[in-house]
Amino acid sequence: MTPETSHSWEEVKSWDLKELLDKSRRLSWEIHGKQIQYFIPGHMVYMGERGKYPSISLTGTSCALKCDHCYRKVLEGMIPATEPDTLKEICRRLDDEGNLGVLLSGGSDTRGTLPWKKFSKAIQWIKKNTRLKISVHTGVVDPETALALKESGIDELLMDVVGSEKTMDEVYHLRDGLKAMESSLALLGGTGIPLIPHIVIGLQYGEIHGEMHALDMVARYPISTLVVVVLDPIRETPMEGVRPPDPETVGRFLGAARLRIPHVPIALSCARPAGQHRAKTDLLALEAGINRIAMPAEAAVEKAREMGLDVAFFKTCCSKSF
Amino acid sequence: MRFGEVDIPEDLNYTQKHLWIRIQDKLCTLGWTDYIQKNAGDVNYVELPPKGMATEIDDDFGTIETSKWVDRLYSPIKGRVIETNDDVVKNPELVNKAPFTQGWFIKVEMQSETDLQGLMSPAEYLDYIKTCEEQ
Repeated sequence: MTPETSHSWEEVKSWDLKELLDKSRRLSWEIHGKQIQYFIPGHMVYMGERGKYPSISLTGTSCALKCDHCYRKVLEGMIPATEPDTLKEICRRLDDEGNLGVLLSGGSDTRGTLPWKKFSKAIQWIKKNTRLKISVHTGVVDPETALALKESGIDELLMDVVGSEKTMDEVYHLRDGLKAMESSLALLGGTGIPLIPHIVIGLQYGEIHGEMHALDMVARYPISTLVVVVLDPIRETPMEGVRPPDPETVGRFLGAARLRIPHVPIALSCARPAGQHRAKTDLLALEAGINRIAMPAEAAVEKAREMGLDVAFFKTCCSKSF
Repeated sequence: MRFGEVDIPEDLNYTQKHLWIRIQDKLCTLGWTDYIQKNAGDVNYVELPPKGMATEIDDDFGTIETSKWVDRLYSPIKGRVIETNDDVVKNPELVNKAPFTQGWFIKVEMQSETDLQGLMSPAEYLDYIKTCEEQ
């Protein structure tokens, strides 16, 4: 249980959970202070309040990869903007309506890339003509795309990081995906734009497989925040009915992540199982000294106050680096 | 009555929190409307009160969660819960699949008829969701 050193999941599993959470929490409070930030991302609704950071898909509902955990379903909930002029129009309207920013995302081609070069000029226009912050879900990038993203003036780069070739192949359907991911991380890290990697726990059909390697990969870069996502199997996808990782597994990973990258704020994403699972996960996350939670369970809001944490709410994505 | 893809049955009443209410004598059945279930996405979790619990107007009687929606359910009726839908607790997707039939939440025995003030007719609810769409 040594900070800032690499550990395998087998090692992490052998540690006493309470001891791990206590150590992780103490470290977090010492470095980041006794505070918790809660988020209402997207246009999501939380206790009657709506987020002000909608997601836009630059490919509509199209995606060549059709990954097993998403199967294009996530794209259905985004605002489609498949042409640069449409994107400008939508962003102007969202700005007029008082939104704080947008998450630009979308489906991929067979290499895992998104059409950033096509939208680069439109993004520059949005940054110049609206007050919106722009977060970008990059996908795999090449050097030209990384440069185009840098020149477009976006505010932050979000990237799903997978640490297993098996998962890249079987879930993402990407051959040699790990190499592409390593190279994308290096290119994005070199842009100087805040980089916020996302690690999905349980992406290998609910199993832990490569998450610790993903942690080692992101630890090599100056990241702003680490977002931890928990597999939440979606209906009508190949993962429907899969058992997600249990809350204790999530708590254990959060503790291990804190020890691995103590100075990086850690966020629990809005994408995680609902109900009692969410409540238990959030309480364990607080025990682990988490810094941010999106769409928190009510019990977690209450517990944070009992723990004497400073609580703040934001209507943006939990990646927020501005 | 329809609003695009949204169904608004004409034999029901509605609330601003997007519940439908079927009133038969003093028995009120409550559920989520087609409009809200389509907007909120796949329902993953529903928590309902125990049988016998008293409900007050605007007090919450349960919780509902989708991948993009976490909120409480608010009662438009003063009364007592006489039945809860255990099927919807076990299979929350019923709210999406059959919002007006198998997807109901609770049945409440209403305390007095004055409780019905403030409910919307189907035509009024149609106007209301048009306003919601503009916002």
